[in-house]
Amino acid sequence: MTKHLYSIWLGDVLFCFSGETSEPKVDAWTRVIKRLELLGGVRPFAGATLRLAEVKYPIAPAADKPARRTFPGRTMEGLALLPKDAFELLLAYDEQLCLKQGVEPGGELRYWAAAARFALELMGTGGIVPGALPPRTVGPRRRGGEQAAVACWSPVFRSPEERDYFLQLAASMPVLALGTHTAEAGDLSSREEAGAYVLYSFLQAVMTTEIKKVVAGIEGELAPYKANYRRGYSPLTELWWNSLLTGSRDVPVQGTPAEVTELLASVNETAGSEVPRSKVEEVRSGQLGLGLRLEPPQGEEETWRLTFWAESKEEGEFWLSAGSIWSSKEREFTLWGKVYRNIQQQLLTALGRAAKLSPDIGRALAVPAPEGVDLAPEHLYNFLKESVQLLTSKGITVQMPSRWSREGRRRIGMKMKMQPPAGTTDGPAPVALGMEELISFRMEASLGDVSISAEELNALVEAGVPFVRFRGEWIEVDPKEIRQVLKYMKRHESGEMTAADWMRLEAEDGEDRLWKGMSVTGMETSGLLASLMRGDVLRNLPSRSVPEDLQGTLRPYQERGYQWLAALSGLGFGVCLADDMGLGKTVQVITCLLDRSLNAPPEELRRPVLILCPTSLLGNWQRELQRFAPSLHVHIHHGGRRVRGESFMELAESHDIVLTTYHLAGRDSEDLAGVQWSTVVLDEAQYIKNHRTKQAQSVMKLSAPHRIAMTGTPVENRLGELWSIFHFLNPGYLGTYHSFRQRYVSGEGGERLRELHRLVSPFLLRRLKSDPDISKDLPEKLELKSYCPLTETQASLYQGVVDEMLGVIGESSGMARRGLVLSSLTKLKQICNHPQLFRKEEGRTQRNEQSGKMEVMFEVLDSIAELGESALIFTQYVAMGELLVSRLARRYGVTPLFLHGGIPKRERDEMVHDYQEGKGPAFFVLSLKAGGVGLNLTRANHVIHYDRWWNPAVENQATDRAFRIGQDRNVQVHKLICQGTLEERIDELIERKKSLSEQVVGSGETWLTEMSNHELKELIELQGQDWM
Amino acid sequence: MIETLELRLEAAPGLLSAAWIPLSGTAGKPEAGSNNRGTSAELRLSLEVPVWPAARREEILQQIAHHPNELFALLEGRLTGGCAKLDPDLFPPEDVLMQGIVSQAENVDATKVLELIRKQLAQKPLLAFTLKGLSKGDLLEGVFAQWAEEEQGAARDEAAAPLSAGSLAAELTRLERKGPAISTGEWLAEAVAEGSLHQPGPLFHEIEARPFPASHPVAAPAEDWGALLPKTPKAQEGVALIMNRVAEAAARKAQSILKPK
Repeated sequence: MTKHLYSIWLGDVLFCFSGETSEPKVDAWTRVIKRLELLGGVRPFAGATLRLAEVKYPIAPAADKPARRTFPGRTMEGLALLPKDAFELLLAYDEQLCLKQGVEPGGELRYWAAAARFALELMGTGGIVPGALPPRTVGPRRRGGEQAAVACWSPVFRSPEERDYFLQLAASMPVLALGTHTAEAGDLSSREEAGAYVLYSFLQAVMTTEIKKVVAGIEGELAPYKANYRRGYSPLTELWWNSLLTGSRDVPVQGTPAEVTELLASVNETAGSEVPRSKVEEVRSGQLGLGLRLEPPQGEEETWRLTFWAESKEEGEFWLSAGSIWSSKEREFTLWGKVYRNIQQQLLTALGRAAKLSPDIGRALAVPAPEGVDLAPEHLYNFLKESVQLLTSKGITVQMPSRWSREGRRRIGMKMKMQPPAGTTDGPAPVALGMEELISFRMEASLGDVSISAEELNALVEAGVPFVRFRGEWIEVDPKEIRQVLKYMKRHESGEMTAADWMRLEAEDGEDRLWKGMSVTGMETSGLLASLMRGDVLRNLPSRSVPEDLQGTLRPYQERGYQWLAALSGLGFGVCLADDMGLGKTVQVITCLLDRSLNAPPEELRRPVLILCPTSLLGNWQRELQRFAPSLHVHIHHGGRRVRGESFMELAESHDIVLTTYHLAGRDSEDLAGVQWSTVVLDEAQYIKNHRTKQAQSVMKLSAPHRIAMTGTPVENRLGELWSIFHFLNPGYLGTYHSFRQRYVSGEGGERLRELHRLVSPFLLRRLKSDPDISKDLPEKLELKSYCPLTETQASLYQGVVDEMLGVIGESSGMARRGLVLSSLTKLKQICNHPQLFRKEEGRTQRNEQSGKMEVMFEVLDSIAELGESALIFTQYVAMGELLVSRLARRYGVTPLFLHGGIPKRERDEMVHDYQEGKGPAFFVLSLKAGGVGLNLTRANHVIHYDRWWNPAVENQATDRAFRIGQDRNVQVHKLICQGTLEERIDELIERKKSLSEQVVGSGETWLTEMSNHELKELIELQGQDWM
Repeated sequence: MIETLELRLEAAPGLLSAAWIPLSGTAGKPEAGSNNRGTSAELRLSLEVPVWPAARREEILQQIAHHPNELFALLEGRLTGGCAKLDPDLFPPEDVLMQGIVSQAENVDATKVLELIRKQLAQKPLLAFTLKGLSKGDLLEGVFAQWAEEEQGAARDEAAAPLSAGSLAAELTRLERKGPAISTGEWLAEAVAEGSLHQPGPLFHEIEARPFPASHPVAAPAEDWGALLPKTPKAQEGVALIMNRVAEAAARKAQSILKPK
């Protein structure tokens, strides 16, 4: 299957997409493109982020719909390349190489490659000039009214030849590139102009990023040229100048709006560079036609007015009143590059022709400077019935009030008002309100949002024309609509629908909102459902306290999360907790489960909770449950010796929690389906995103009144995932997969996506580390421990070494004993890291062996990679470092940098420099003792300790390399610990004696060798492996 | 007798020129002095006719200004309403015409000619008006200028009526600023229909291959940065320095691209 590669410049990124909309196809495309290798071995897409963008791109029309004339934006999923990566891509672009790798690029790539080369040429010949831009508004405006400008570099064409080349290139731009907001922000009078705007924007972005790199490299040299800027004293231009001369970081040029405006003006005036325009061509002449507007009477009047307008017949619509044409002394005018000649004559002629078709217009021509004509009601009727058709058939536009007045056409429809459940008008909120709960509502006919009685409706119908006088004003209606509503109203005054249907209808909020074929003009929701949709349901429910049995303290935002979880899922809604990685989703869910175990009604208590997670996270869950809620009895369903059938059901029912994996949900689906669960929890719920897999289907079959999904991915942007997760949480809420895709995926983005957001937001809680509310509660250094299981092979190797050592330790002493202890401990650590490490030592290698720890690391890195962030990976062993490099390269398509003691200083400096610049890989493997002090690796905001040093101080120093002043992001430190092994115990030891760690643990491993045999045994024994 | 005649009339204020070609070759007698060879020759007439005095012209303009429908009809070649009532005043007196015809063309059926002239004038009333001193241009300009006067007077007198008042110039300025609401969708739809959505324009093939300029001296910055940054005397030098370094880096990059090939 060939994969197409299309690109479009969106103003800030080069958005590359496949033209496909089906999610599996996009996924497959993404995998291929990320590995795409171009000239010089460059893999420009390796670090690209997935992004949704609105692109005007044709999709094959459905069989029953006519081909569209206008192009709405479609939401496409693709890879966004930042200007620097786009530049690399385009300079290394080669069509043949792409084709060889099964990728068929669109013609526009050659174009952009030429544009990139032109940018290079301009840079090479001094065709650059400093500039300033207003920043793209991304987030909310800064408080205090301060704004910021951005220093940039713009292209300038110093010779006529270069200028001509630019214009030729702009004129050759493929049309695809013109369907973007960037193009539309510029001049749209012709394709050439639009192209020039887009091309200029591209050159500017690419050149700015490249020049900034050069500037960063000579920053030292530029120091004497900087301005002596003092905040509060110096003009903003000096700050701008210094920002221009700083390449290693972004210096925001912040000032009051007035200062910023002045800065932009003065800089751009000095630069004198703007988008070139081609010489004005011979001006074309334009034609005017007649437009008519029907205006309803004002106030108490009965007479309508038909007004005359000059309508343009060219590209680009405008209407000019007849009065303005007659009152002008000019006989011609020019607009948008066209000359309109003999304007009065043109209008007169058009009117004269129209008069032949409509006697009313003829009447108007009996007075000088005719601007319109009055229509008494009887004339109006005739005009509508007889003349309009004739006029429009001759190309004369007749605008009805709904077309041009703000009112629009009023729809006749239904207003729905939700009724509180019988007998609870003033009582407390209902205990349960699941999705299938029936809601009753009253219905009223309405005109727009005003209620209207049946008699009034009848009167409207009887008028027979689309315009009627209603309560003192003239309105336009559709008689068919009225009849339909009357018919329905005769039989129904109230109705019922499920809460899910109600919410779906409410979310729609558009012209086309229909229920049983009638327009729903208003919906009044009350009670719990209303607060659910508003998002403040917690306010209306009694607040829950954190269960006392919880062994640990919740951070404030975690407490809020727990309350939300407990409240909503307690009401019977499936909910999704989608907090950012590291915010502690697990503890929030555990708290909720604990609360339920203490406060749920007795019938529910008898039923266990099922938690599903990826295999690599089983150990983690076990740890966390044990740590936070030891009072809950957990059964782990895993491993070759796991219990099946009847016995499984008994075990399940006699425990509070059953913990198992997605893999086994597929294999043992019968066993799981046979149990009545009280709650089902899905961790990393994106594992069921492909609803066709056996796993996903088994999960959907599970029955439980309470459902919780957890995920760290921005699920709102991954529509396929969203559907699967919600199908599990609240089946049917988002309709069938097919209808969902039709409505939200292959549709027109924008409005539809907002509707989807309204539908899911009551049931989705997502907080980001960067939220100011959250970040204040987070420590600067967020420590996350991931407990990794050992594979069976690892476990048996480990056990082997333990047995061996314990077997001979009793007989050795002194130096020999020390040596034995150290070598055994080292072997154990190697096995935990990866069996291959151990085998290499032993002289035997087996390829394709797994390591539990490495699998967990991949989980962590996948999330990091998806966010586009960067990580440092520390290990003690150079051999492990090499293994990591090769495995990471295989998985992510980019070879990570690897720094260890054997690297010479110059190369080391280059590596660090490259990394900080953001060149190439996002992952950097380092040996824990590499280099020394003075390494600046602030680009990373994740640190992974693949294996631990015995001395936390050394570990912390490693962390601090990433965690430095000047970095404005929180750092997450991940520690990988193999469960049940010495790693776990050493970690416990270190934790217990943190403050004394230096004395207890000391530098180096001597403290280990001084342990007694008994202590050693306890340290290294393999524990808790029965379920593995 | 002249059987068939094709008459071409041209009108200027006070002057009617008629040219005709006798179609039955032998019957027509050529003008005195011209060759006599059996070929048809053009006959010309220049007839002076009276024009309307200025006051009368003004009166008629006023009347037409009050009846736009009549003006439209005139443009279509019809006489309606008040204009129709101008007959016979509208047409040149027959005796004057006759006199002119007879004096200028001999051996020609003057009656017939007169009839033809009258017919044509009736069919093209604008010609008649022109003869009387009101050309089409005069008519249009006169009427429109009158309307403009009235409109502007009305606007001055009363508070501006909601939709139709407001000068054209102001509206055009507003539109010019707003820009045409061209839907780029139209361009895209066209391109999709042609199958050229992804293709660069035809000129591209000629300009695509463009070698990186070899050893091009980097120009000094032409802009005056010193003026923008008076307290930073080395600003201009700084820009020049950056330009040079950037040029070097670009040249290096260009080199490295060329190498693998």
